[in-house]
Amino acid sequence: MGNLLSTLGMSSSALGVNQTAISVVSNNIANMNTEGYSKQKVNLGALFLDLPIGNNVLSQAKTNAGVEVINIQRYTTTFIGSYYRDQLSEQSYLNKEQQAITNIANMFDELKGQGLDTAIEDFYAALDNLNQYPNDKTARINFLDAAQTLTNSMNKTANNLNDLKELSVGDGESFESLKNSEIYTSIQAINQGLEDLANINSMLSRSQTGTLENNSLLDKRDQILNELSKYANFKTDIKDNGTVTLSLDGTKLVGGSNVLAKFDVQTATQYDDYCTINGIVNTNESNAVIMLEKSNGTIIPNINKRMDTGIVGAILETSSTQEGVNVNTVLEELDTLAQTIANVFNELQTREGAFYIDNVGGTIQLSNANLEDFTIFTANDGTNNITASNITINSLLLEGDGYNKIATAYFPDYDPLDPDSVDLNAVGNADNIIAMINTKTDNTSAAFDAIGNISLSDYYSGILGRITSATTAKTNEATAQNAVVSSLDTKTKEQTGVDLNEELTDLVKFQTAYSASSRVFTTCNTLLETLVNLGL
Amino acid sequence: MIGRVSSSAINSTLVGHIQNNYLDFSKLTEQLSTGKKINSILDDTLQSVNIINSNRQLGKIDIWSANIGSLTNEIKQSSETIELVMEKGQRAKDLATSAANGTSTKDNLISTLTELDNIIKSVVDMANTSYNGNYIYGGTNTKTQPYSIQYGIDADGNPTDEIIGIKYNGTAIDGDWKRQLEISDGVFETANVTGMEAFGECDVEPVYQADGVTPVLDADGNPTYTENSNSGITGDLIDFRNALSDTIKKLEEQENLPENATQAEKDAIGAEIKACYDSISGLLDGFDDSISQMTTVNSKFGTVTNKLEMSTEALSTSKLNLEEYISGIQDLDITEAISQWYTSQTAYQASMQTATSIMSMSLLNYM
Repeated sequence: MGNLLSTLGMSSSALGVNQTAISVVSNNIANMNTEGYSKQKVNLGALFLDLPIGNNVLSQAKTNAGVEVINIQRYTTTFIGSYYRDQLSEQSYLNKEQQAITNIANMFDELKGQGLDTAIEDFYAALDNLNQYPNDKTARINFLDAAQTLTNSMNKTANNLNDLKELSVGDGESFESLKNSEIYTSIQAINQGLEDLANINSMLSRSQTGTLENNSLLDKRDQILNELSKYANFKTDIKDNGTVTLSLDGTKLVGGSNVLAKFDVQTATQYDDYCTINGIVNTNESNAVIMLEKSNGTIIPNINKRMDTGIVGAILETSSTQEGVNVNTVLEELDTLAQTIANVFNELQTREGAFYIDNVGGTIQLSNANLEDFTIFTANDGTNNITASNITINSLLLEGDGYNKIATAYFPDYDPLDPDSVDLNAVGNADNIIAMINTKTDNTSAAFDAIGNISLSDYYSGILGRITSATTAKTNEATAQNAVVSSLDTKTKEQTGVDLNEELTDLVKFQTAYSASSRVFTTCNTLLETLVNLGL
Repeated sequence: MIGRVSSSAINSTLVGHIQNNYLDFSKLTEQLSTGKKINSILDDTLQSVNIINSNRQLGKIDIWSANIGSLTNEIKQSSETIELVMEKGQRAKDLATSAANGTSTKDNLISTLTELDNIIKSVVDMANTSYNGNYIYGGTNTKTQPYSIQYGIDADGNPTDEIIGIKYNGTAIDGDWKRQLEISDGVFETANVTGMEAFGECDVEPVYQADGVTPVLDADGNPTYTENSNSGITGDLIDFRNALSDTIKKLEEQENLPENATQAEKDAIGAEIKACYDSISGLLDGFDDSISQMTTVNSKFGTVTNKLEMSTEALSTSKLNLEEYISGIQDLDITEAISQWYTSQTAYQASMQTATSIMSMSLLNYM
C-alpha cells in the first residue's frame, strides 16, 4: 500500500485528528473559568496497518498509516477524592456553626449599642435616684421606665434568638415555618443532589470512557459529590465505570441509576403524631426531625443524631442541643436571668414590712393594702412562668397613679397587729429601695440561687464571656479549616485547571501540524495530478 | 503533572490575596475613623468583656460621685442651718443673762419677751428647712413639717397667741430616721440627723376636762398645761419664755400692790421676783448644754464631709485608672495605625497591580 493514495489518506487522517485536537483545546479555553471543569488532553498515537511486516525498510514504511486519537484524557488529581470531600464537609460544618454563633454574638454586642448590660445598670441607677427621692413622682416614673427598658431589652433579645432558631429549624409546629427554614432548604438540596447523582450514574454507565461526553459527566459527578458533602459527610464508593454508590452510615442512598432512599423533614409536632401512630418512644428535642424514606417504603425515623456533619449537622447542633453555646443554651440562661430579676425584686417589693405611698385626700402616706398584687415584674401571657420573652412590668404600676405602688419604705420590726410598729408619715423612708440596691453586691438570698448566688451583672457577664470565647474559638477553627480547604482547592486547580499558555501552545502546535498535513495533502495531490497527466 | 501551574489557580490565589489586603486595609480604615482598636466584641472578644466590665464600673462611679455631691450639699445645708440656730440660741442665752441680773425694768423684760418670741419663730423656721423639696430635720417624714409651734388657750378654751411649746413631728430618734445614699459598692452614708437630736422638743398640751373641750383651770382661773417632753434648745427657749413671763407677771403684781400694802406683803412679792430671777439664771447652764449638743451634731457633719471628700478623691483616682485601662485596651495608637494604614494601602495597591499585570499576560499577547 506504500503508494500516493495511502499517503493522501494519512495526511487526511492527520487533518481530522488535528482538527479534533484543536476542538479539545477550544473546549478547554471555552471552559477555562468553568467551576469544576477539568482540563482535557488529546492523546495521539501512531496508526499502523495490520499487515505482516517484512524485513525490508520499504515494506515496513508501508505499514505506517498516520495518526489516531487514542483517547481524550481528563486531568484528575488525588485530592479530588474522599479526603477533599471530608475536609469540605468539615469546613461547611464549622463555617455554619461560626455563622450561627456570630449572629448570637452580634445580638449581645454591648460595644455597638444599648445592650442588656446597660439596661441592668440603668435600672440600678434609677433605683439609686429613687432612694434619693423616694416620694418624688418623677423618680418613681423614671424607675418604672428603666424597668420597662430592661424587660423590653430582654424581650427583644429573646425574640431575636427565637427568630434565629426559627430560621434554622422552624418553630416546631407550623409546617409553613419549617418550609422557610434552612434545614428544609438543605434537605431539599440534598434530595435534588441524590436525584442528579442517580441521573449521572445512569448516563455514566452508558457512556464510553475517554470521550468528551464521559469526561464532562465525571466533572459533573464530582461537582455533585462536592456539593452534597457540604451538607453532610456521605460515604462514596466509586466504581470502575465512574458510577458512584452513596451511603450514610451503611444505608445506601444512591446505587446505580436509582435513588434508594430520600430524606424527609418534619416538624416536631408532625413527628410526635408519627410516634403516637407507630408506637415509637419520642426522644426528639429538636423543632425539626429528619427521616429517611427508603424506596421500598420503609422509613427510618429521626436520624437527627446521625446527621452530625456538614451544614445539616451544624444547623441541628446550633439550634437543637442543650450543650455548648447556642441559641438554646443562651435562651435558657436569659430565661434564668429574667426569672431571677423577677424573683429578687418582686420578693422585696411584696415582703412584710414593705410599704408603698398612698395618696389619701391630697396628703401622701404609707400603706401596704393589697401589697401582694403590686409585684413589679409579671409575665405578659398571664402565666406564672416568667421567661426572657414574656417578662414585663405589672400593668397595675403603669396605669394611673400606679407609680405610687412601688414599695420604697421598709420597717424591719413591722407587726401587723401593732400600729405603733410603723410610722405612716415616713414617706422619706427608702429602706426597701436600699435593700434593692444592695442586691448588686449581696446575692445570698434564695432568689439568687438559680444563678449561683452572684450578681445579675456578673451572671450576664458570664453569658457574654461564654458567647465571646465560643465565637473566638469557632472563628479560629473555621479560619483554620478554610485555609486547609483553600490550599486543597488551589492544589486541585493547579493540577486540573486550564492554563491559557498551555492551551495556546497546544493550539499553535496543532495548527502547525494541521497546516503541515494540509501541505502534505497538497503535495500528494500535485503528485497525483502529475501522474494523471502522465497518462494523458 | 507535578509543578503544573494553571491560570485559574493563579487567578483565584490572586483574588484571595487582594481580598486579604483589602480586609486589612478596611479594618485599619475603620479603626482610624473611629479612633478605636475595638469597635465590636467580635474584634477582640476577650478584651471586649474587660471593656464592658470597666464601663460598668465607671457607670457606678458616676452614680456614687453624684450621690456624694448630693450628700455634701445636703449636709452643708444642714450644717449652715444648725449654725444659724446656734447663733439664735446664743442670743437667747445673752438675753437670759441680762434678764437674770435683776436690773431690767418691766418694759425691758416685755421687749425681751417679744424678741424671744421672734427667736423661737425663726428657730422653728430654720429647723423646718427643706432641701430638694424634703424637710431635712424630719428623719424619714420628709413631707411633714418637722416642727410646729404650740399656742396656749384662754379660760374658755379658745386659742391665744401665747407660745407654750415647740412640737417635733419627725421620725423618732429610735425609729427608722436614716436617709442614706450609696457611695461605694454596698456602702451607704447617712445624709441626715433628726431634729430631735439637734434641737430636741418641748411638747406642751393644754389639760382638758373629760369632754375634751373645756379646759381645766387652776386656782387663779388660768388654763393648765402638761409638758410631755422637754429637751434641747427648743426646751430651753420655752423654759426661758415661761420664766420670763412669770417674772413679768410678778413685776406687774408688785406694781399693782395697793398703797397700803404691809411690809410683809412687799417682802413676799420681792422674794417671789427674786426666785423668778434665780430660775432664769438657772437656765443658763441648760443653754450651754444645748449649744454644745448642737456643736457635737455639727462636728458630726464635719466628720462625714471629710469622709466624703476622701471618697471623692478615691473615686476620681479609680475613675482615672479605669479610663486609662479602657483607653489602653480600646484606643488606637494613631501614629502606629497611620503607618500601618499606609503600609496596608500600599500592599493593597501592589496586589491589585500585580494581579492585573499577571492576569493580562499570556501567550495571547504574542500571537
